[in-house]
Amino acid sequence: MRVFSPDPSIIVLGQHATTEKINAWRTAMGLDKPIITQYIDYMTAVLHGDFGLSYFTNTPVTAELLARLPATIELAVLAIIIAATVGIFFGVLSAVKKNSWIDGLTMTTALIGVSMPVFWLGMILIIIFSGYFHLVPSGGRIDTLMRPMGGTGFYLWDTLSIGDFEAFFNALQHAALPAITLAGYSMAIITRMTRSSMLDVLHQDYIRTARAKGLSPVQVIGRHAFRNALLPIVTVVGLQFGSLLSGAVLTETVFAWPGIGAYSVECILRSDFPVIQAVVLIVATVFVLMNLIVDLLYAALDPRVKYATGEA
Amino acid sequence: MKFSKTKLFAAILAVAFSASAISTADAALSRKPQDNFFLATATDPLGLDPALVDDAESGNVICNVYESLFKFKEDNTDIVPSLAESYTVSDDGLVYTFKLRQGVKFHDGTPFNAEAVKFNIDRQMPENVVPKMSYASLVYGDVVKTEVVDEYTVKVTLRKPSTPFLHNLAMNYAAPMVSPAALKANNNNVNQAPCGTGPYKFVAWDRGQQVIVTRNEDYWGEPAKTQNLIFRVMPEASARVVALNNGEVDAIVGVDVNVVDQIKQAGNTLYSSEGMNVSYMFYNCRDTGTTIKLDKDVRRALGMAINKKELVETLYKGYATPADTILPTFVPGYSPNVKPLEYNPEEAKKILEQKGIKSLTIITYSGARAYNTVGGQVLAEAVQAYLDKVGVKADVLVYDWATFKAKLLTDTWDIGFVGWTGDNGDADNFLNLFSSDDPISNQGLWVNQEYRDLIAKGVSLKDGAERTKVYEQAEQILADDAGVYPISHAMVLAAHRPNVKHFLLHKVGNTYLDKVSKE
Repeated sequence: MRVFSPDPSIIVLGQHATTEKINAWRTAMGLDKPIITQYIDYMTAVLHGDFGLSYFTNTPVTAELLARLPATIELAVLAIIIAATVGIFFGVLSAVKKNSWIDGLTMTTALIGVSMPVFWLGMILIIIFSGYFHLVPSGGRIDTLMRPMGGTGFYLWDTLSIGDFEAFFNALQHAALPAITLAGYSMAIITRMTRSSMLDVLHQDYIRTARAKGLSPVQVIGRHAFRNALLPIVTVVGLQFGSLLSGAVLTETVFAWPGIGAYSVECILRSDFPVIQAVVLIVATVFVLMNLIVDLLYAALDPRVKYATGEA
Repeated sequence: MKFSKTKLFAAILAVAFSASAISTADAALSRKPQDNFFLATATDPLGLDPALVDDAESGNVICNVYESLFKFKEDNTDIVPSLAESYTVSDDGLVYTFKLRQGVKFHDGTPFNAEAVKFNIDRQMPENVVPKMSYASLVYGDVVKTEVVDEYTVKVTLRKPSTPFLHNLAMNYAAPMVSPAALKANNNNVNQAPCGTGPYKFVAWDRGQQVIVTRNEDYWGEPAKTQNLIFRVMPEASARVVALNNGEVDAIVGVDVNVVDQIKQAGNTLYSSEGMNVSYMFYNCRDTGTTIKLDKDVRRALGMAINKKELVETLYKGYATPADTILPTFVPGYSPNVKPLEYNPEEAKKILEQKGIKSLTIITYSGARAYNTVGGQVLAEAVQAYLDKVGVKADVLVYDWATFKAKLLTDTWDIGFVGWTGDNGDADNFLNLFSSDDPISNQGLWVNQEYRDLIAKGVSLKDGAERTKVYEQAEQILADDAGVYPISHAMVLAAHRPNVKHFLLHKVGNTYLDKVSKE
């Protein structure tokens, strides 16, 4: 990334930069060293928990990211709840009613969901629900005058824990459009995955047996089919959550949601490398962790999967 | 280990109880709508220490929290005393003695006095300067020393006479006075803990969301009209317009000309003012890094090929004016007598054919800038079309801003586009760009000794007829020699709700909001 990106020194000092000032700044930041030396210095610092200072604000990157992390997590959790609930429901429905008009409508909607640019969807939702119907605010996390002071930074949790329901519903109103926008793509993926996984299972012999035993359709689908179809669904939900945590870049920007995504865009536009590098590293770590969690969940969901405990 | 639901429940309860320290909102924030003024801006400020930042978003907050020795008048760039009550200048123009306003306190309760002024200037002297102090050399570059005469008198000695010096002391960056106690307590950096003498004092900065300031009840001057100002971050321009039309915010800055009708139709007020900026085209006058020899005749012919009036009207829809000179018309030193290059495509075609110019390379930036709201690519493509009409095929290379600035120094190109936003309302601040040997500011490295001599002379002359004459001559040389080609001066645009009174977006780009109120 550093090798192929523009040198930020030329813009970091603004319109009064001179060659002399730029060189002094490059030296102060260590950018005049060979790239391999810079890399070693950076990785050594990262291993000590230090992501360096933002070139533009001179503040520790770790502090900047931690300040924005709760907003991103809150939005991603809401989005995955919406995406998983709606996606699984319509995926199952679509599989059970295969080739019906419900199936056609669901799959068409899912195709639109996968294809629609998040940026465009966000703007359309703002114009309709905020600009035209005035149902929800156009951006932000909560009305300034209701923002909770102190606490965890998770506004929904903070407002609820002090019993300020007016602020809680205000925060929920603010989160509605960005969460739906962010959920759109994942919802479509989960719907398609649920449908195909359910179709696989519904053709299995044990389903036929269950039906032959006279079990009700709800029992067949809920207890026998859905549980067995769950593994791939959990995988895709887990991976989607990872991508929601990291992929809220455009959604956050459109809705002025003060999370890591919007901050990344700001920093990419001005080549603030220490921040971009830290975000990339964190995103990669989140993906690895989500994979690990999904693997661990397999054991809880499928009695055939057991992990070794170290005993011979 | 067996999973225990009881333990999980206990853990959740513990976290819930730990939230007992949360309160609903700042006590300082009244919930009455007329007590809070919301201004939507595009990004978070970089910081709130006037010595360490240079962006407009920081400036919007800084100009309401801090004050300098002088300030600009509301409707132009003339200066009037602020924290300085009066001043005298020695006959040789080198020693300025400032009498300071008495009874002024910083927001932390410490007194504003001569020691504070000396502390602030000394902090930005070359031996103490840190790389992020990008305005220190502009504002204090000519200062040799600062001396405390008595508690409310301070003497500043310059190394050479400088007419812009007093204007520099009215600027929003480097010049505002910061509490020395706050600087000492915050390791010489009050980006997160601003402390000035202004009509508003800092309350909170929620990263990526908003900066909140509240009225300084101990302010020495007329108290601010509205109790709280909230600078809300809204990166997406269309979302800012929806928020304004909905009444979620009271005013927005960074208005795109394409949404002006939408704003007006919703009953809001468009605020426009002639901007202190210029957008211009420059030619590569270096010996290397160019595909053709751009001598004076070629440069003039390229300028004559462009119908500037038509170009500016088409691109900016009336929200920019064609630039006949580099200086905006309201800056002292501007002269209407400068004769610009006239549009003459036939003559241009003839010259370019004679010189054998058939193709060239244009380099430009992609996004919008304050001085060019349609962006560099749109502007370059419009010029490309005019050049095509006189038989010159131009390739347009477009880069993001950072890459563009770097490519200017390393790549091969013939024509480029850039601009300048003035800092202090002084002519020298614009015109000295083209007397520099540094390609960072004089991108094409146009060199004209006569021009340079005039700029060196003008900087020490007092504002008036003689100084204006010098700058008129310099501008005429720039036009005749086609050093650069001025294109337009962009208007500064903002919009506010119809019930907002006394909103002020100054020509220098600052939003002074101490008089703003809502009916």
